Amino acid sequence: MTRCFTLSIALALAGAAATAQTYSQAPAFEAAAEAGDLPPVVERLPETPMIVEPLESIGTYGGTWNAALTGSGDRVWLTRTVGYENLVRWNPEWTEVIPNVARSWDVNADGTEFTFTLRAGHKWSDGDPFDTEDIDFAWNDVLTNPDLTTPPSWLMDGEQLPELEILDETTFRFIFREPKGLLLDHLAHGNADYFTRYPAHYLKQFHPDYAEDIDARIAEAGVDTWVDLFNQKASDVTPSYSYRNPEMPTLFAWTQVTAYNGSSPVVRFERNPFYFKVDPEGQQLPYIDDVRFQVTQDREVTLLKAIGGELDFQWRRINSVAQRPVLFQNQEKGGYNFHARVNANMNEAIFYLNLTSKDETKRQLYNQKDFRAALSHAFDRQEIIDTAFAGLGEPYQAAPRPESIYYDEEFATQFTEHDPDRANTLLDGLGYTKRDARGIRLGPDGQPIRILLEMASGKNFIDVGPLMERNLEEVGIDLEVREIERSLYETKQIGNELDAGIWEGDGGLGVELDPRWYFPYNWESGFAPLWSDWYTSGGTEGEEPSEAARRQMELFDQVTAEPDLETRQKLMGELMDIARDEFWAIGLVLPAPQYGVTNKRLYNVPISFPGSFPYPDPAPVNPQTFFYGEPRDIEPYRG
Amino acid sequence: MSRARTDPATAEQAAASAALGAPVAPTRVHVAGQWRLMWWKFRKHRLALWSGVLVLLIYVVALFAPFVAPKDPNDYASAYLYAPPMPVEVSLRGPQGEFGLFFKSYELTATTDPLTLEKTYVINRDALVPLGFFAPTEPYSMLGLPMNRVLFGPVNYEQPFYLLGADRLGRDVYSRVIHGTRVSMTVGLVGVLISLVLGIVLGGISGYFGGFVDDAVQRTIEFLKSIPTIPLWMGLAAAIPTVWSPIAVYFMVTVILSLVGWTGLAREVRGRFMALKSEDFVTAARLDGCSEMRIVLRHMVPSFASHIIATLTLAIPTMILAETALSFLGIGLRPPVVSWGVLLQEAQNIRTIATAPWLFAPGVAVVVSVLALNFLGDGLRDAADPYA
Amino acid sequence: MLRYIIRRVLWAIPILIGVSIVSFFIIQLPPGNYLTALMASMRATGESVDMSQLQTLSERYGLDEPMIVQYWKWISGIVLRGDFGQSFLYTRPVSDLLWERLGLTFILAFTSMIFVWLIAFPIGVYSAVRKYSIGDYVMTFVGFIGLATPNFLIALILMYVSFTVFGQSAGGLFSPQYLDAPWSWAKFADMMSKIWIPVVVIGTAGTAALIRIMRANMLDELPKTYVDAARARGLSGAHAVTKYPLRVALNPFVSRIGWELPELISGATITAIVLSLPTTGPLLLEALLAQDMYLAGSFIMMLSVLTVIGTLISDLLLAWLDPRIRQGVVG
Repeated sequence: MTRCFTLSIALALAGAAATAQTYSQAPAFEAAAEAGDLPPVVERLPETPMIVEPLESIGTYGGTWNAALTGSGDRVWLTRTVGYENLVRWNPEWTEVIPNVARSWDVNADGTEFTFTLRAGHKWSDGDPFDTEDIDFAWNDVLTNPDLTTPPSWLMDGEQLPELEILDETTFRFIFREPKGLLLDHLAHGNADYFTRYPAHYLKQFHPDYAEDIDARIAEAGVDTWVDLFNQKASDVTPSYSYRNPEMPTLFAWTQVTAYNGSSPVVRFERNPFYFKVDPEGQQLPYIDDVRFQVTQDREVTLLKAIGGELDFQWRRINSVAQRPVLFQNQEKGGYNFHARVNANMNEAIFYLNLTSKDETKRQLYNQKDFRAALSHAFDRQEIIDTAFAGLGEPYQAAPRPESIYYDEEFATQFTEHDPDRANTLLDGLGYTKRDARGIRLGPDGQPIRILLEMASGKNFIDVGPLMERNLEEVGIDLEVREIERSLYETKQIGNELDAGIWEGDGGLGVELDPRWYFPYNWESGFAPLWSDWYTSGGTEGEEPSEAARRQMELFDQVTAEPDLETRQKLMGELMDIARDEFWAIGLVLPAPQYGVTNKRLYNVPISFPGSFPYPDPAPVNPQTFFYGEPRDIEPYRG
Repeated sequence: MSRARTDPATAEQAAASAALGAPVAPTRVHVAGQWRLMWWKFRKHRLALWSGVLVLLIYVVALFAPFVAPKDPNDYASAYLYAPPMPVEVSLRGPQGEFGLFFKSYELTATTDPLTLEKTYVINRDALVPLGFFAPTEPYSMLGLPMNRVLFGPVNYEQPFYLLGADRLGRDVYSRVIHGTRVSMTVGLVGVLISLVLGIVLGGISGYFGGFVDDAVQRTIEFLKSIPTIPLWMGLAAAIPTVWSPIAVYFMVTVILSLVGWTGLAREVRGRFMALKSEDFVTAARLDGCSEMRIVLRHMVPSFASHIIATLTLAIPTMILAETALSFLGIGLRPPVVSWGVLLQEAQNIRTIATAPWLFAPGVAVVVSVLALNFLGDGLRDAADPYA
Repeated sequence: MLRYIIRRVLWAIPILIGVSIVSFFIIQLPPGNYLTALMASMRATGESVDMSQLQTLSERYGLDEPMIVQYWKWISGIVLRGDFGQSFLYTRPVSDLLWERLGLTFILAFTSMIFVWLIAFPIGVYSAVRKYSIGDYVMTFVGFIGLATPNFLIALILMYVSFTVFGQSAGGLFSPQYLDAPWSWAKFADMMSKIWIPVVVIGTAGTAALIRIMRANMLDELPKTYVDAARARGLSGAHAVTKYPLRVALNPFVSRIGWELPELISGATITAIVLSLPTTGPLLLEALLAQDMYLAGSFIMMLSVLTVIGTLISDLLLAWLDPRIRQGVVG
């Protein structure tokens, strides 16, 4: 694995004003504009369109992008492909935040005031102007309306709301009392479309503060309350954009034609005549005419569609290790190349003991670092990799990925060698030398040490269970593995009812955005549910954490506030050092790249890019610039 | 039919002519008891007869599963992921040239394509795996007895032996199917027994007393039947506490299956009761002054026992299939429990069809046993009316 | 007869009330609720989950209210306004969701039923007339294979075969280009070229039961004197079988039609999931898994009502066919 992404994507020249530029458009719009059905392209584009530099070459218009959604809960694939148009976005390399819908921004020296400038003349897909009126509506009428939702926690000013100041039609400012060092990173997150998804002119019809005939509209829609009506029309305010109402104007490159609500077996999007991005020659993007998502019920069907060549660009639901041989065997038949996703997770499986267990004995046992280190030494990671992960990946702790600026070799590799003798010595050292008839060590209460590991069914790591069971038996610890239903797993984790658990290691890159494995950050930090409760509730719930964890929480509060990048990284580094020393959870395997299919005729697709949700790939690599040309073969990226 | 040489043919002719009311001299058929008549009749249904033998064999395998299976079903081996079945060679000459019946196989060597992850296995002719009956193994216990031999396996226990290939973790499919027999065949049996008790008690009450009691029981059945199966399963299966041991979960699953199954049986029992109530021999018994209890137990139950047995036999395969369906939906038994449903659920993907079809072996086991039980049940049902 | 009907209809009322309560509570049996299921699915897709935002959802859907209150809201909507509630998953009225899928579901169910009858009748009759012959064994064997193989297994294998051998697009009832096209002959032909997989899978599972009933009924009728009489009158063997006994043996079939009603909607859920069919079955399962309680509850409720109505029709048909039943001799 190389230490940095081999991304050869040119930087999007965002915000650069095009001077004396002439713009051109897709043939269909050309005709419509001439016939007078559409305004000319210059009027449809903002004054300063965003110029996107294609990866390989300037493209030509035409074609359909076929992809697939699996089941009714696959909306993130829509967000990753067509729906990522936030105020700001990630650059393709995932190294910095760049302008997007917002043309530019300005942060004051304290990091408390954020001034954004929109693009003058920017329009929704129905031609209505997009300006600060929409921002005002999104903030004051949707996000801060308690009937509809609450702002995400990263947008809050401590326990209070920040102040929104509208300066003119294209400029607005957020004012916080405390510095918000991570605000822009959060705004570029795949879910953070809060300010660019509520067209005020359309949605005001369904908001009681504006619509006089709201009761009639509620009755007409056949719903009970205006909240239901508003959610229906706004494609769901919470938990995230649901693509259910194609009527609502958007800022996407392709606007929705059919709803993703079970009514149609195909969800179709077509070119948005008012899209705000152009290529360096002034051709309005996107190149591809429309995007069609077939809705399947089962991932095996999605896989068959991929190997049958029905999907032009897709990794979702077809990129597991188990599916890989089938995908590669049928490459000729399906006529596709491969693109690689370098998983941003730092682990396939993190094994964690509940440090705040309800059981006092367990708590005493698990809170000893030597105990956790002993377990870590007991695991034969190479065997786990060879057996459960088809030989892919390398032994790794729950530590940042090698590509991360927080990479720390010691953190990543400590206690990873398979050394049962060392494990036994450590356990003996803790005084658990007595054993029962089966050879299981007796714990502090004189009972055999028995760990109940519950695993959420259907996950990729499900096969490590039996392997770990045997590894631990060798050092005299009884691990009992149970598979349980996924949502039950969540419920138990939140309720502090797990004894031990296992989950994927999110936050291998973009560490500040998702530090759940490095300290008790939120409920997803399964190793200490009560401590994370204490942190998220501001000390009113849960239980006071250990000193080290409290220090980490203080540091993280400073990180989120610190506007200066260098200082922020230093503080975060300090937090990571504590994480290494505390060794909260036991990582097993660093994930290898995953593969998806790319039509042989599709251009401007990178052969490898990072994969995660904060960086909602492939959106940051600009699917608007994908286009169809002559078929060609590309060697798959090998990592 | 009339050309058959055996007694039952005569029996049937006699029975037929008896039914027509022709006066016949007493033959064996007139004095033979009900069960004997049934056996004669059953014997004629060849398919049922052989199916019966097969079913018996399957239950024997289930009982002695650890002895029949050459390997521990949970033993994984990274060198044999998705390994195909190993060839078994039979020769009459032993390694030293001695005569006798000798079995052998060869180890497989894997190469993995680093990119596609595809495994190709070649037979390694240098690494012989001698096989034999009563091969020694690591000690295990079966039915409480300590054992250290298996029916058939590698002479050297450390050596690999994959008669039906290996699964994704290099576990022996053959051993897993054998062990799965235990759970899958008994889920049906236990479930049916629970159904039986419920069905006979409620069906009997309903059929014997009639009137309001009957109405109430019938509507209860209707009520249960009107709740769709899948939601009922899902609701109940999801309500099983996860802290329960796999055995307890297994038991709950059988109870859930039988909850759905008892209604059919109850209807059957009730129908029989209704029909029998007005039969002459019941009236005769009543006129003789027999108690109600005695009438039911002594006269009525035996006369429909044969039907019940037939119905039960037909209910078992339904439960076996229901278990696989539950596992497919991910709400039945879960690993590490080994059942045919669990195994099939693991095999239910394109990769298996395309590259490792031997993982469908549990499917073959399901088909064979369900077919066998069905034919057995049909044979029993035909035979249950010995005079027909 | 009228009294019988009234009695049966009156009995249906308490059953329906009971079913509505039970179906509502069954879907609440699994631990957690719609929100925990939602959270699990969001987490699986890597989305971040903001707890305070989820709390507003909980309030909106009234998930914190006692179960009795939720039940009353739901049932009063159905009874008083014919409103089956909104699906959380799709944020649409439950009835819309069901209606959209009923068309294809019925087409599939009827095609499968015809397929089953076409196979089961001849085999049933043959195996009764030629009891214990080689032909009987072979045909029953073939008829039973479908029953013995788990549906999800056949479905997957057939789908793979149609994909690799016939080059058909996997899953669904249509090729991709017809998915959102308006109905036309080409689309119909396309559907016909793909519908055979689900029909075979669903059909073969049902043949065994029908073969068995057919065979048993025929065996009951064949020895009766009127068949001998027909033969004596000089009717040929085949004619003697088809003219009377077959007709009589068909009676129980007619009465079974009522029972098929709920099957039409819920049947073949598992097959439909494997084959990605846009029918009602997968919707039900999805609703149950996601704990989308109004969708699941209303769905179960409808199925139950259909079962009750189906039973009623069956019983009435039986009573009409067989006077002994309506006089209460046999229940």
